[in-house]
Amino acid sequence: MSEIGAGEGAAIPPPSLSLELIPDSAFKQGARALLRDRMAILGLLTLLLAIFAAIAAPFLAPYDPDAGDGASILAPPFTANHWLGADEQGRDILSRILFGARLAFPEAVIPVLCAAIVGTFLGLIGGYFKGLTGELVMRSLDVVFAIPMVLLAVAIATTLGSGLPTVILSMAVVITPYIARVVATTTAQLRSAPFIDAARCAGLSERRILAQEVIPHVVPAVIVYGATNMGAMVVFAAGFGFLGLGAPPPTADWGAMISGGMKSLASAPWVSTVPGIAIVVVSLAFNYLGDGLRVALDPRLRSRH
Amino acid sequence: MHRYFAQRLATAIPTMIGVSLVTFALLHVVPGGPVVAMLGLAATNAAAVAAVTKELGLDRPIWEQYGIWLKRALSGDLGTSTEFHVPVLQLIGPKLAHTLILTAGSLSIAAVFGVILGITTAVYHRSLYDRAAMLIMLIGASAPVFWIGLLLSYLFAIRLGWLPAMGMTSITGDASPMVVLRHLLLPAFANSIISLAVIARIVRSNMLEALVQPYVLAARARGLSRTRQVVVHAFRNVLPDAINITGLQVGFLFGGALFVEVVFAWPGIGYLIYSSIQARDYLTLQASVLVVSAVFVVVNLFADMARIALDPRERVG
Amino acid sequence: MNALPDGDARRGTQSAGPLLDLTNLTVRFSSPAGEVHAVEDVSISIGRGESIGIVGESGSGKTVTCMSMTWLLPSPPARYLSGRIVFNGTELKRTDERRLREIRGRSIGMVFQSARLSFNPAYRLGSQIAEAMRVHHRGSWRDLEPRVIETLRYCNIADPESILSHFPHEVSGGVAQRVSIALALLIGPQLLIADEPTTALDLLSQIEVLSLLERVRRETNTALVVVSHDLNVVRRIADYVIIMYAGRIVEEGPATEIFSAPRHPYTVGLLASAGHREKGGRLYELPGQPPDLAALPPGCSFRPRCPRAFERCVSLPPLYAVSPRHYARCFLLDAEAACG
Repeated sequence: MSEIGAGEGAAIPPPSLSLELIPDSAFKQGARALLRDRMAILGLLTLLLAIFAAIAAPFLAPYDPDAGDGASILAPPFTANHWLGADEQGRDILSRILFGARLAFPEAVIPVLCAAIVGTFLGLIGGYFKGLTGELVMRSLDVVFAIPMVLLAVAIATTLGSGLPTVILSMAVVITPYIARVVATTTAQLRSAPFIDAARCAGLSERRILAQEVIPHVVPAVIVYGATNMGAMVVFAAGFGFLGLGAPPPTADWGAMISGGMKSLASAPWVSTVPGIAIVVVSLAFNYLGDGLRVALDPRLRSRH
Repeated sequence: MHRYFAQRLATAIPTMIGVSLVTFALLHVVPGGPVVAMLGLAATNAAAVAAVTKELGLDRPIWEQYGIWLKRALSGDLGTSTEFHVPVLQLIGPKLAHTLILTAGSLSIAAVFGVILGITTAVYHRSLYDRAAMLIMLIGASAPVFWIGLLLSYLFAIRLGWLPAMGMTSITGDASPMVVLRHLLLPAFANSIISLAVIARIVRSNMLEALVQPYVLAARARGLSRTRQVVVHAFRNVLPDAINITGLQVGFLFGGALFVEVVFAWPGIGYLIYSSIQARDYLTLQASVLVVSAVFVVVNLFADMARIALDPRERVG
Repeated sequence: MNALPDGDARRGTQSAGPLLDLTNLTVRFSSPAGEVHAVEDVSISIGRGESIGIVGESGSGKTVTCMSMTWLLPSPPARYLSGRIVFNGTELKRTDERRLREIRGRSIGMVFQSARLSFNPAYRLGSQIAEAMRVHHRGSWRDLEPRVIETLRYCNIADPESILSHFPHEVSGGVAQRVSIALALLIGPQLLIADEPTTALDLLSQIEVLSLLERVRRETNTALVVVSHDLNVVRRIADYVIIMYAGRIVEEGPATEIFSAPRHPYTVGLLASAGHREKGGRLYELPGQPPDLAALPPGCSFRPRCPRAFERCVSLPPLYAVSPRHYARCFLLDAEAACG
């Protein structure tokens, strides 16, 4: 009568671990859970649409984004000529939004990817090797934490000169410590896990232990962290444009478009408003998707949903 | 408690040293070297270049240069601004006060409303109010702070005319507290939105857990009112985490202040940094970052202490 | 045999009118697995100064029942489909929050399973006692403190003054439980409900707490409702015993009768597995698992585990009277069916 069987005995994780090994079936479970999260799917579709629009911008945009038409200065939206209006130099806002997406996505994604690689490396060292090396790494990261993120990034970008590469570099430098911290915490937890000791007893070298046992646990955490913060990265990148540190004018950059519209805020609020809406939409889409991923990848959170 | 304070103080010092190293390094990363950073466009004047080289000890090894810089920094000499031609520290002083006021205002708004929102949405969990509030928070937290500032400026200053859009000059002088407050309201609120959302979310999820704790039910069984259960009992146990997350917002608020000060022409360090960026005034930029970081480290220290003092879990063992 | 008659007449009440009369309580919870039938049509009548024990496994609905006596459970997630409480002659409406707040603590006190958890870890015990007393009594702490100390001493707490300045996690479970009882007594209830008062305690503390409860019962006129899965506890303290299973009352009666002559197969099994009656000298254990309250079988909920179930058990048996105050919900008591 009692059916509390030992069916899934295979993948029972060691009790001291808070993370669980993720075998194949769990991935499928996670994927199914993600698919059931309507908002996450909506976010994903929105992003795909936006990326498509960015790639196809040269074909989709009705006007040259950099060409100003004197006759259309500050033209209002919802007109036949300019669906989203025109800015202070007569450039079509819709076209600039489409082309701006070609900057917005790389500016958000590339820094995170770079930071993920470097940060994981640093975090593994900091979390795994107790002793001088590890401590040194962690203390150095603390220094970067002590400087407000935006200020440091802006300082670096100013120092190196404005432009797309410096924006990406500055953002990557500033986010790396956060990822490193996530990795270090996870690694430090795992260090004392019995199965790590077991691997050591079996004669595996430290490097192999890191590669085979530790990294598979760390990767999901990094993915989740990156995904849930990607929305904030889009906003962060726009900040550089706003301050004039991004791609040089007249390149269409969502942040720069907002600052460009500041002077004409009273008479033509749409110039600043529309690019902001684009940022919010993309950021929201990333947030919903990231949240869905977070729940899907963490079996514990799934049961509560 | 005191031991913990001493520990934290001890780790703060190497951190500050590290920060000073970073800001020092920034000067040297400038294309053209520190000479360009110090002199700006006057870097072609051979005599000036020689003078600066001697002053900064640029012909000495790098660690000596750092030592020289550090000694001067600690005695208050952070160089002279290439843009404004006054000693940098003199420039920063009053501006720092303005930014601190702005940040304090934003923090207060974010903390007070974030907590209220967090508690009420938890108590009325799953109601229309809860869902609506959380949605609005999510949208607000996904938006750039300067954009929100501009929207608020347009709505309340330009269209409705209730509050001024800019024009704040200085708190010293003849500006009365009321005037300062009127000018402060919009920028502080704009800057607070993202932090408000974060605090509300954390408070809400912690309250949801706290409200189902046995001691809340026991309080109810003893005849205590719902308000008492929620505030005195449930929230009291959420308080340490609320303070923690509020403290963590300070760094974020300093960053946001940069944008908000530009939008509202608020005369703070953020605006100064913005001008320095435009004018390539590296000294001022670097000094501002250094000063803000120092303030940040101190604030973090106090936030940590407050959390420890109020957390009942810390009393165990 | 007669089926269940009206609530009041079911047992001779010890004084004019029962203290608390709960009728037809049905409580459900919604869960991802479906709707949980926590309590189904339960009626309990408590007389002044009477001592009642409610017994059952976890999930039997005993905790939800006793908490419902003051409508304590918050209403989402709990759903009260039916139920009426009459306390001291007047009805206690679920919506009358003001009256409920007066009654809770003052007239009906409650003590929980884990006493330490029933106190807020952030405040000292003394301030929590003071807080509760301020709700119900006037007077400054200076006036009230002697009574508090005295009651703590009555509850066998050594060094009461120092206990007041302790935090909940600084005292042992047994001490916390006795402080909890003391607090209930201080606010002075006519009815004290104790939900699993000894379960979380070590043996010595269990004995101490039980002795205290017995003392309260002997020396005061406080009515007592003790909920427990431990038959020994109930045996010691209760005059009247109610056995619950899967949200329903399956048997109830005077303690002496229940323990000497149980009629419901579940009660028989319970007593046997507690070692009260051995079947053939071997340790007996109830077979099977407690039922899934979201998917109850039709008819008698005990049928899947009952060694004496027969065809009729697919419909729900009413409560049959075994003696004037003893009832059991089992078709075996229906003379015709038993023979036929």
